[in-house]
Amino acid sequence: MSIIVYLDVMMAKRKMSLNELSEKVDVTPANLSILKTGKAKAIRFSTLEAICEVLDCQPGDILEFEK
Amino acid sequence: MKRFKILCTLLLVSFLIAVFQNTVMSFVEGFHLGYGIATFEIDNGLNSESYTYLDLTPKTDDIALNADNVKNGAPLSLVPSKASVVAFYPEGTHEKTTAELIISIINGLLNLGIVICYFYVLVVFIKIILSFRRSEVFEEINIKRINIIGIGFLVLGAMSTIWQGLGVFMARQAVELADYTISYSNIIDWDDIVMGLVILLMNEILRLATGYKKEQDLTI
Repeated sequence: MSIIVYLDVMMAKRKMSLNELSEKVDVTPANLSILKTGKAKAIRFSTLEAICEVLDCQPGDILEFEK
Repeated sequence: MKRFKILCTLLLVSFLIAVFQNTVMSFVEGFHLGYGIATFEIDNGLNSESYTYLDLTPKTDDIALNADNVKNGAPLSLVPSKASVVAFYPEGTHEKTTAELIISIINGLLNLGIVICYFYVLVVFIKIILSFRRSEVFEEINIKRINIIGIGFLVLGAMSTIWQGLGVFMARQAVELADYTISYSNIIDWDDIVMGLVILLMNEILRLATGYKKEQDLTI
């Protein structure tokens, strides 16, 4: 059981680079990379909110629970 | 962090003083006692056996006036609770049995082990303090080091308990005092054992904190 992060998929759909997203959501590229590669242990609501706003998507488009 | 560093420095200084007091001072005292015994042996043609740091319990509750207060000449009752006993034998009349020899060797090895263990713990402790002073608190290596110190103290406690027990056993085999019993009552080295357990407990708290920090570091 794990949470799969589809941040790279959404970024590709929106044709947005990691650096561009990091500037817009005010999170360092290193931290976004941790999130993108699924190494993150948790995500703050404020970060999720900012990402969803910039990528114009729902949390479910970025995160998915897999059994 | 400043307070933390001050505490680390105080702890290191205290530990160094404690080591000095427990090892260097004991060594110097032991050396003086040994020198005195050796001189006495040579001057009087005797051999001796020393039994150190024995706990004594009075056989009766009677108070005897057995000393004088040099300050005012008033009589005093001197009740020793810890003592070193030196038993003298005319030269060539006292041979150690095989069992006594084996116990002596084990005691010597334990003594050496205690000194080595103490200094190893000291070295690891200094490494931790230096690491803490560089603000490296929540590091895996420090958790391992503190674990070593905790286990080191438990081993020290066990070794000094056995050492003390064997010392009392040997003394009781060779010596019997008229007014005091050489007692087993305080042979367990609770100080080191409790210290070891407290350190291991604190280390578990640090291990948990390190885990939380890792999680916090990976929270985006």
